Amino acid sequence: MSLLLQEKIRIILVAVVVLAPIIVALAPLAFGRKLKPLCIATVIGSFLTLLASFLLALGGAEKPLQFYFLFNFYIDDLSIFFILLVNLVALFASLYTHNFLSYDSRHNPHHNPAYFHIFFNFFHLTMLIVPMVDNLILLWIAVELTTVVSTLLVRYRGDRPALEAAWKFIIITTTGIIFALLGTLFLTSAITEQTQEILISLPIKAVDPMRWSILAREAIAKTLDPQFIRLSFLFVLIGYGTKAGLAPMHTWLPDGHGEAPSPVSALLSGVMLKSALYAILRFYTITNLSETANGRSNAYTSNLLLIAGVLSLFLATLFILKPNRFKRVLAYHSLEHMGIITLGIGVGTPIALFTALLHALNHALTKALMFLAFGYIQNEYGDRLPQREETLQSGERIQGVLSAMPITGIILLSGGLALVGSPPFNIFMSEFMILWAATQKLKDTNQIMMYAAVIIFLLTITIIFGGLVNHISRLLLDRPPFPPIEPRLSSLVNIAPFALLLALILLFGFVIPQFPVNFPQLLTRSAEIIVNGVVSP
Amino acid sequence: MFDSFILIIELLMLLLALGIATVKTVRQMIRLYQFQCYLLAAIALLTIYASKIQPAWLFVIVLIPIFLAAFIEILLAHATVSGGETGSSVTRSLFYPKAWPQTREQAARIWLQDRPEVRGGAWIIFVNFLLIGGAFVIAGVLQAGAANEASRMQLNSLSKSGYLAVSLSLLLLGIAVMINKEDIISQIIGLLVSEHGMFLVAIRAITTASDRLANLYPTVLAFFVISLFAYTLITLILLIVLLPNLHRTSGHIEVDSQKELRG
Repeated sequence: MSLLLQEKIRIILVAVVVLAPIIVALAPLAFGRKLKPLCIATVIGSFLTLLASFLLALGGAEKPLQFYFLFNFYIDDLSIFFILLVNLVALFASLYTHNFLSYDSRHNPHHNPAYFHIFFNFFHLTMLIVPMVDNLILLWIAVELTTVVSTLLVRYRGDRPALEAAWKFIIITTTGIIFALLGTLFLTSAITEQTQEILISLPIKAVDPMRWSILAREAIAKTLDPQFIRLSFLFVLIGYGTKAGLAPMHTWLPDGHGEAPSPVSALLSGVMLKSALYAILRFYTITNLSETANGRSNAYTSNLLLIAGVLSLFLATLFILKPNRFKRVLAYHSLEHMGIITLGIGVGTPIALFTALLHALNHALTKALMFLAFGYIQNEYGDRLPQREETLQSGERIQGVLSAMPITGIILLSGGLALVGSPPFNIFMSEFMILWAATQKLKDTNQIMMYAAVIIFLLTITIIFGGLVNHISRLLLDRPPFPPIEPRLSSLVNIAPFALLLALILLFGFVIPQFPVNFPQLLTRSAEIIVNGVVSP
Repeated sequence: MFDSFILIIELLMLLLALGIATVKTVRQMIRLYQFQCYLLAAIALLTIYASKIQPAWLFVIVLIPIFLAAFIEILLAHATVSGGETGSSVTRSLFYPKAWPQTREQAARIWLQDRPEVRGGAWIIFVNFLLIGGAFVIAGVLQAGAANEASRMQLNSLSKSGYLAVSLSLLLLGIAVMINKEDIISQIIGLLVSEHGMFLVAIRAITTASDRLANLYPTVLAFFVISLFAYTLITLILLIVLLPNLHRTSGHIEVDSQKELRG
């Protein structure tokens, strides 16, 4: 197949990825508030986008896909990895929307499936746009749009806790995102006369100096003003770090994740945090290229990320040990795992970056399973114990799940064990690899920060293990408030997506699959992009 | 001369931010914020006018602070009085200008009753000055870096330092207001003050970009403008959608009433 044709097919696949959620979001125009068709449309849309992104990944990306339609698209392997991540979690979350909305129709006076459906699909869309844009200002706009749409989803239930959570979420992330835009603006201030001269000489028709594909070249990066580049990265880390839920700007996380509907919590924790991380990675590359071009090591970015990672791990441990609502505990696990991913990026070697990305995928799958399975349990208990609605929302009175819902209980238990990094699950594999990469780095460099990071990492993951076992045993054990409801055919249909997710989690625990997508190759190339930026002329 | 004039206006903005951080009534805060908006609009107008390349559409960004100055009071008043109303009547009152004076009066009464408590008293003034000092130090360090490479960067370091220091100060003072004042209206004002810091940097970046980069790809300026509009959109969502509902469910504009979620 000719290269031109191949590129055209890839553009069509990108169009499917982007257009499917838009078209599906408009489904209420045809179906009104009818729950079933809306949910089927969402599942079909999510399936189509996932299929298209799989095909996009299958095609490989020897050369990044670049084209202009309204704005510049730039899709390299790193973008494809994040697109896959978004679509995988979105498909599982969409499979669960019917269960959630059915329950919601029985218990929520503000029930509005059309509203939920529109914003759920637009949220999916905004998270897909983030890894596709080339211009760093547009990247900021895309990340900010994820905030706007997700706030409207967090407030969906319309009661006081949901509104309060939405308020805190938007106030804190919006304040943080000011820093991100300032960081982006400082990047423009870093462009010098020398940079301009090179830009003009580039064989590109319209040179937009804010495009990542332009700035992340060694020849350009070395002409950028190092002071402003450093300041830019610091601000970007604070700004997008707030959105990524990194400590100490994580305070919105437990409220937002805890009060959002479960499918939205799965998307928030599984994917939205990673969208912000993606933005940090793009700036990380530019900053490191500039630093090395000016004869420095990566110590500046490395230390900042290690501090953010270690602080996140430390604070997560404190909060996970406290008695708390289960969804909030899960949110603090997001803080923990974002800390681990950031720590991995901070280590900075190609294998550490490979593993940090793998950990992002593993965390997304596991957290999606936990939020969705717990949401399902909440609904089943809520239907049988309506008088305890408020306490059920918080998950405080749920007990005896292993007896009442043995299959879902075992799935939740397995997910919990995966989350705390037990073998043979996926997170064990990626945590172990990050630890290995960090100890390898210690052999080469004698950084105190790295020593501290490794020690705190080991300590916290051990303590956290005990913390979650305590929380999950309160849910699973004890006498159930009603007779067992599983196994039943209807419940098996609901549980099937969880079982599939658990199978994926187990699979990634044993091997990084090469089918249907060659994940090892995709991750290796993504890590190379983070290290080297744009290598082609 | 021109840069000095701009710097004076920027410093005036900073003084107003200090005022916002220390005044005790919501109405005073709103007035000071509105004045700050007009100053920002003046800076935007002058800076764009003075830059070498002036696409006519670039002047639309001047409209953002003017729009916020004009409508901020009614938006906040609407959010305040909508405590006991249903969603549809709230929306109606917002889009019916004849009802605005009544809304303002009702809100003023609530604002007088629920005065925002300022935590810490006198020491907060000290903290504010400390924040401003910190911002000026950071900007100074950057200026020193720029001066060493002045020939390469061709920067007007005085002006660059001025805008940077003031922008960072506004950002930090805005956050301080959000932390120190005990009501959600003040949190919004704090966010808007921080936003002014971002706006100031954006105006400078836009005009610097227009000087240096417009010959390469002028659309980059449009993206900056879009990003500012996107930010304003979020502010409006906060004010129109979220705040009235939050006030309706909690019955208060105080932050203490929004602490059901903890731990």
